Amino acid sequence: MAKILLIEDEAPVREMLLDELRVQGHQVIEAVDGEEGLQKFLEVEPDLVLCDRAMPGMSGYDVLARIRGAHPQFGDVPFIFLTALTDARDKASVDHLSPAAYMNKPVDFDALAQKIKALLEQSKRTVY
Amino acid sequence: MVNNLEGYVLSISTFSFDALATIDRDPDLIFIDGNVTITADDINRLLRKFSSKTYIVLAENPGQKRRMYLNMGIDEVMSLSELRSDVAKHLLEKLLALKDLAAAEVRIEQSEERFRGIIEHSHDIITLLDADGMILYTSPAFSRQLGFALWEVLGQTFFDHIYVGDRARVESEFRELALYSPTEGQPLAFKFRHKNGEWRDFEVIGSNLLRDLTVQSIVLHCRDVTQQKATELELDKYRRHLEEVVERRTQEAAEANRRADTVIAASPDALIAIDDKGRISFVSRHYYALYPHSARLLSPGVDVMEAFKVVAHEVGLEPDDPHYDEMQKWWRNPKGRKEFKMHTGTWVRLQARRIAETNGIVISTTNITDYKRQQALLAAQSAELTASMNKEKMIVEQQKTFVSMVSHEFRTPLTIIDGNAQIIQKRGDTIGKEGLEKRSITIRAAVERLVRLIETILSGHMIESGMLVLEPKAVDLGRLIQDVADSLQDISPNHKLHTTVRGLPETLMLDEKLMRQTISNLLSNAVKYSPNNPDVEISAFREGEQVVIEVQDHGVGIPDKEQPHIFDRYYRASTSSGIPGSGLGLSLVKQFVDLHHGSVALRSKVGIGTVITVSIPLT
Repeated sequence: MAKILLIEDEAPVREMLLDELRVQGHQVIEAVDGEEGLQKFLEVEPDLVLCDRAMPGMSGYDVLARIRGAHPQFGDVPFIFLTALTDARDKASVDHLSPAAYMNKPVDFDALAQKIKALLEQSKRTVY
Repeated sequence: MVNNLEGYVLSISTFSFDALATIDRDPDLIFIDGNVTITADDINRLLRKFSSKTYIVLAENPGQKRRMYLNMGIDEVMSLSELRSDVAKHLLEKLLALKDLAAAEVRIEQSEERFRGIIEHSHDIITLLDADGMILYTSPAFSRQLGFALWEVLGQTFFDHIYVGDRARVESEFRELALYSPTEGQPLAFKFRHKNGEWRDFEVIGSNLLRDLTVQSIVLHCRDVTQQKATELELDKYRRHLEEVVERRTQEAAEANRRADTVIAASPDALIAIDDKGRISFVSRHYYALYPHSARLLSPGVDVMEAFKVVAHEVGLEPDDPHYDEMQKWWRNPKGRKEFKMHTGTWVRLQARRIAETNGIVISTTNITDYKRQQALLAAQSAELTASMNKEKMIVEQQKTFVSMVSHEFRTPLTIIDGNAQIIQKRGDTIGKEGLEKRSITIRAAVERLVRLIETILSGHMIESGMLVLEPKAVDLGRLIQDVADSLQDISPNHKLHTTVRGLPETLMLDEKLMRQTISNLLSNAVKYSPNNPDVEISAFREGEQVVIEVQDHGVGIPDKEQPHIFDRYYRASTSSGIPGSGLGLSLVKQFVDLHHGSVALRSKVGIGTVITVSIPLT
């Protein structure tokens, strides 16, 4: 079981993912936008972050950029972007921030579960 | 007794040869006293001792010996009785007179020799002719210059050797000279034949000395002028050649000038030349056409700055014009290029070129009006092209963004549907009836969202292709607004939608589908673009003959300069960054309202919020 921070502005999507991740056995902390997401990241120090890419205000990109820039001690926390933006240029624009994964919506829950498991096993902060 | 006379007189009274031996020079006169005993042998010895110049006189008593003495060589024998005291003086005087005569003869002989020498060595030929022209004498120069030996010509007629063409003239002149004139003033020119057959040119001056007893002939001074004449001919030829050359050069220069004039006149440029003192040195004809009123001043010698003032006035450039100083400065030191526009609208280009040889300047004036017009046209076309390219680029960019956004808009409800479907599939039996119902509602809301999206895109496409037709029917607008607001409220729990409807007619003739989409677009925009301020107000009311729908949010707002574009297809404000959207919503609103013959207005401030007002006429 891991501590996962879920940042998603679309309520139905967020609710659905929250439900699924909990069923998968994780402790899930939710945030409705980028600002709340960054704040909760620092509060709970999650093992993994699942974050929407496009959000009004502080976007997923902004959240990760802030973590990489201001809080390098969390550099090894896996960060997964979820995105409905399928433009290849968008993926390229976040590469330099080295997200752990970039997953397109709609999301296959099994694939997501495997990805999370693999990333947590790699991470030193895994609680397994 | 004779000592008072000049001369050396030896008087012998006692004859002694011992005494004679002491005499060291010849005396002028020897006087012998006949009383002295003197033998014939003595007289011989005496005569041998002194030269013949010594005059010897012997005085004797009359006798038979006188003849003998004279025969022996005594110069004079006189009687003793004649002997008086002045005899010696008389004799001496006579003697001296004889000596003078001899000296004179010598001088004449020398003078003659000198003259002969002069004549014989003279370069000129001196010829003496008799009255018939026969050659009596000629100087050796004749031989030297004409090749004949003197003996060949002496006694011949002078005219025989003269060129036949000259002969009659020379003979006539000669006869005249022989008859009248002692001296011929003007030299006579003719050709004289050399012995080798060549003709030599001669100039002759004749003097008639026939009556001069010592000469008794006509004297000709002949000079060979062949060389001189040839030289003169040569010089003459050379002079003529020079004259021809000068003539030809003059013609060539005139021709070159004419050609230059033609070329300058044919050139499209007007040319003016200025000397190193700033004065006009040349003006081409074009200037008179360009500046007809200033033509009088545009002439050589005029100070160019004086001309400038007048021409500037003519082209409407007055000293208060800011270009005046600029132009004046240029003309003061013309350099490089200068373009200016005359008040007639004609564009002119000035171009200065320094002439190194004279330190002058040539300035060409070209009419570049056409060029300028073309340039302006090209610039306009280029700007138009750039604008259209930019527009094209913008449209392409907008379309890319549209595709990306539409993809996002589709994927979000699809994600909801797919996710919930996965939950039902995997855990359908564990989530219970309530859970299933919740999932189904969520799925249906997502489907509804998809349908709206498809309709939006389809409407856009139909409007674009002119396929959308208004289908009005009686619609309760208040109820429609409430409906749309309620369903949006369901999917936007973080926002609070406030609806105010008052004074609307019961029904209005509207296309319900389009009006629903209009209200839906306005409300979902208001929600979408105010992520941090939950309150959204929608009100509908009657204002005169219009129905007004007003939607207000307190969101990100739209920058002033972007507002004119906000109803353009695909246009999205810079403040929409990070917020999904297709850029179609407001453009559809505008077009739907237009179909209802209404209007849309916008008030917005960045960071404060946006109000969109739709007005639709009642009828």
